[in-house]
Amino acid sequence: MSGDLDVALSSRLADGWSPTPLRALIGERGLAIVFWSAVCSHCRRYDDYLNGWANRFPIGLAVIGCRVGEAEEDLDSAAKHRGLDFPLLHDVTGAVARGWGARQTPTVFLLDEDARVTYRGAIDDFTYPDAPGHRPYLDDAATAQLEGRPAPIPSTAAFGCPTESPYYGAASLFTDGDR
Amino acid sequence: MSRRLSESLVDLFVDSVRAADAVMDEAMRVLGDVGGSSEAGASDQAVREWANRALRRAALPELGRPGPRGVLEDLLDAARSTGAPAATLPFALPLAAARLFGDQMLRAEPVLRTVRPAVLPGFLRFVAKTWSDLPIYFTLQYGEALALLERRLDERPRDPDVRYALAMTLLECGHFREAAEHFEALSAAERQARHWALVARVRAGDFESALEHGRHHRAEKTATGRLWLHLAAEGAAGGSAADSDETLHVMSRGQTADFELEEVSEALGLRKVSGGRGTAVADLTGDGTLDLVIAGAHSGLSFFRNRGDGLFEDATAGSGLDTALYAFAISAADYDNDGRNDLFATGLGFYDGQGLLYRNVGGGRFEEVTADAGLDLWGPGFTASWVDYDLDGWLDLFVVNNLGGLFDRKAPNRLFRNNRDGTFTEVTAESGLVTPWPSLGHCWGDFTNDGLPDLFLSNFGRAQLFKNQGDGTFKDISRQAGLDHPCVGSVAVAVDLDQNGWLDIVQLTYSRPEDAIWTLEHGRAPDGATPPRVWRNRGDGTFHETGAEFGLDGAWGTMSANLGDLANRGRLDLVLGNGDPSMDRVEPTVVYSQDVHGRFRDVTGAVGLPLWGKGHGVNLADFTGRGHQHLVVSHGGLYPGDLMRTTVHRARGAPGRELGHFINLRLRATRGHHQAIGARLRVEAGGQVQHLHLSPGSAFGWKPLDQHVGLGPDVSRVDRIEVRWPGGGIQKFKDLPADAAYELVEGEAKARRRPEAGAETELPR
Repeated sequence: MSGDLDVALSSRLADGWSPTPLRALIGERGLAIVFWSAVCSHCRRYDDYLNGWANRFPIGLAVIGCRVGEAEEDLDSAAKHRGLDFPLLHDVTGAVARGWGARQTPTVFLLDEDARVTYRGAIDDFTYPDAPGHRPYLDDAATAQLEGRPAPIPSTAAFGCPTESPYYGAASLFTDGDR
Repeated sequence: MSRRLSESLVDLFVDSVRAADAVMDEAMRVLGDVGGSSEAGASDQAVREWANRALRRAALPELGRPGPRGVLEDLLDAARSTGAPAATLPFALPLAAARLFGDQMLRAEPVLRTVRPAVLPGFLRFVAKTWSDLPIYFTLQYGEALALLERRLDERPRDPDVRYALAMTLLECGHFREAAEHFEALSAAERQARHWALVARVRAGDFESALEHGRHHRAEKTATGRLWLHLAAEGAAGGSAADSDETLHVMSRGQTADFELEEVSEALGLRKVSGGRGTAVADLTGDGTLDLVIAGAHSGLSFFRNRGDGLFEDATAGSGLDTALYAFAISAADYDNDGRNDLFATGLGFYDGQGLLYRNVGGGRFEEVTADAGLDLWGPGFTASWVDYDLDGWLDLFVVNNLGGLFDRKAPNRLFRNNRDGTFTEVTAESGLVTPWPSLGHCWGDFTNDGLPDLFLSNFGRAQLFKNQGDGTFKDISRQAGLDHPCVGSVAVAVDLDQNGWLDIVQLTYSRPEDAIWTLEHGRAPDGATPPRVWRNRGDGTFHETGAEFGLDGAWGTMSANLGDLANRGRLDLVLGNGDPSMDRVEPTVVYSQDVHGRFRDVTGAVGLPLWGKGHGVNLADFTGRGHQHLVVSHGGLYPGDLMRTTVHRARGAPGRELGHFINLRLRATRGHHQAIGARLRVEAGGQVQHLHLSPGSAFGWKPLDQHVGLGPDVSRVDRIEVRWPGGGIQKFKDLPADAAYELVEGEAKARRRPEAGAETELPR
C-alpha cells in the first residue's frame, strides 16, 4: 500500500517554504519517507539518525511534519534548535499522512526507484544502535534495497505520538508555570 | 475489641459514607447543580479539577508555579468554570468538597487496610507522581514538558531540582543516555539520582557502565538496586547471569517443571514494540485460524493475520483497525450475529478516552461504528466484556470504568443492551449495577448455577458480586456472599479451581515493587502483603478466601491474568502479567502451575521466562491447532519511553518429556448466543474429570472462544463431555479421539470433527 505521491507538500528551503511534489524527491535509488512531528519525543530520539542518513545511504529522504495543528514555524524552530539538516516538508492538514496510513510519528515508508513500498513501520526496535540485540529495521531494508534484495522484514508496527488526537489543541498543562 | 466488631464498625462507616453521598447528591440536585449519582455535577467537577491540579502542583513543582498563590488561582478558576448558578455556589461548593472527601475515605480504606505500613509511603508517592504525570502523557504534552524543563535548566543550570525533573522526564520519554548523564551529574549528592542513573544505563543497554556505577554506589543494598544490578549483569553476560551477592537470588529458578517455554515471536512474524496493552485472539478473517490483535499505548491497534500455517503477517494497514490512535483492553465476539468476530476496545483506562466499536465487514476489514451503534463511550474505560446477560441470543456490552483523574468522581460502569439491529441501549441505571469505587477488573460467570451470568467486580476498594435476577436487574450480594473485602484490586478471572462444579473467582491484586522483589527472592510474599485472592465458591451463595491454600502466596503488581493448560497435562496454569508505570519497575511474567493436588507452584524461572517484562495482555492460544499452546504477552508501560516487545512463548516438553494430548472444542449454541460464552464443560478422560468455563476472560487477554483442553500424556480419547449451555440446557457427547478439533452444536447428538489445521511450519532456529 502506498499513498499519494503527486501531492504538493510544503518544503522547507533556505529562504522559506515552497510547494514540492513528493514524487519529485524519489531518486535513482528510491526514497525514505518519514512521517514526523517537531514536538514528538519519539522523533527526537532519531535526530542524529536522520541527520546522518545521507552519509549512510544514497537513498533520498523526505521527513514530513504531519502532526495536526503543527505549524511551519514549529518545524523551523525545531530545525534551528536541534540542528536538523535533513529535508523537512509539511503536511498542513495531516491528509497526506492519513492517506499513507501513518498514524504515529515516526512512521517510515521505504520506496524503491519505481515508487514501490519495500518497507513500512518503525525505524528500529527502540534500542540504541550500539546496544546488544539492536534491530535496525529501516537500515536493513535500505541495505537490502541497494543490493537488489527484498527487505528481510517488510513491515513492523510503528510506535510514537499519534498524528492527530482529540487532545491536541487542549490547554497546556504548564502555561501557569510561565505566567 | 474483637476483630468482628471492628470490621462491623468499618462496614458501618463505609455504608454511612455511601448513604451520605446519596443525600448530598440529592441536595445538589435541589440546588440546581446538574448531575447526579451517575454523573458529576458542575460544582463537583470544578472541585475535583481543582484537587487534581493541586496534586499536580505538589508532585511536579518544576512544571508549574507551586505554592498557595497558584492553588488559590486554581480555586478561582474552578469556581468560574463550574457553570453552576452563582447563587447556589456558596452551598454547592462545600457540598461538592464534602463528597470529594467522602470518596477519598472510600478509596483510603483498601490502602490503609491492605498496603503494608513499610511500603505505604512509597505507595502514596507513587500514586501522587503517577496520577500527576498521567494527564501530561495521555494528552501527549510530554514534548512540551521536555522543552519547558530544558528552558528552566538553561535559566537555572545549578538547580538540582530542575535537573532531576528534566532527567526523569527524559528517562520517561526514552532518552535514556541523556537522562543517565543528568542523573550521574547529580549522583554525588543524591541517593535517588544514583539509583535512577543505574536504571537509565540499563535501559540504554550500557550494561558495563551500569554495573560499574551500581557497584561503586553499592546499589545492592536496596531490593530495587539488586534487581537493576541483576538486569545489568544479565545484559553484560548476554543472557542469564549467575546469582551473586549483589544480584537477586530468584527462587523459582530452582524449581522444576515438566514443560519449557521457548520465545518464538520473531520466528512467527509477530513483531511489536509498544506500550503493550490488551490482546485478543480470535478468528477475524473467517478462515478458521486464530488471528491476534494487540493494543498499545503509543501505537494504536495492530492486527496480525494468521496465514494458516501458524506464521503471521501484519495486516493492520488498510484493515480499518489502523484508525485507532490508542487502545487499552480488547474484546472480540460477534455482536451482530453475522458470523464474524467484531472488536471492542476501551480507550486509555487511567484517563478519559474514546472506547471504539469495530464491526467486522469481512475480508479482514473493519468499520468503526461506535456512534452509529449508539454507544457513547467517552470515559476512563478499563476492561470490557461481551456478555449475553439477558440470554436473548445477542451479545450485550459491559464496560468497566476507572478514574479520569485521581480525585474525579468514579465514572459508572456501563451496561449496554443489544437492540438486535446493530445498535445498543444503555441500561446502566435500571440494571442496579452501582459501584462507588474505581473499578479495574471484572468477570462474568454463573456463580449460582441458575443458568444466568452474574458479575464479579474487582475494585480499588471492596470487591462486589452482583447476582443476575433474570429480569434485567442485578442485586448486590457482596456482603452476604462474604467477599466485600477491600484491596487494591486488579483484574479477575472466573474459573472452577477446585473442580467441584461451582465457579470460583481469582482476584488479582496490585503490590508494591519491594513486595514483588521479596517474592522473587523468597518464593512467597512478605507478611502483611496482599497476594492474589481466590474466592472459593461454597455452593450456597457464599465464598471464602483461599489464595494461600491454592499456593498463590506471592505478591505481584498484576495487571493481566489468564488461565489455561500450557503443557496439555490436564491441569491449569495461571499466568500473571505484572508491573506498574514506574520506570524502575520491571517484573517477570509469572507462571503458576497446578500440581496433581490442584495447588499452584511458581515455575517462572524453571520454564525459562526472563526477569525483564511489564506484562499487560496475557493470552493463551493454540495458533496451529496442533496442541502447542502459545503464551502471548504484550509488554510496556504508560510512559512513551517504556516501550517493550510483545513476547510469544511456545510450550514444549522439558528434556525427556513430551507435551500431553489435547482436544480443541468450538461450541455453537442454537438457543442462546451462538458463541456460547459462559458455557460450562465437564470433560472426562483417562479417569480424570475437568470442569471448564468457556470464558474469553476480561483480564486484558481476550482468549479464543475455542476451548483448548489438555488431557495428559497417556490419554488418547475423551470418554465423555457434558456441556451446560448458557441458559441451563445440558447435553452429552461421547468418545472423541484426542489431538483433534471438534464443533459441539447444541441439539446435535454427535460432535462434528473440524477440518485438520494446516501444516505447522518448522520454525527457523
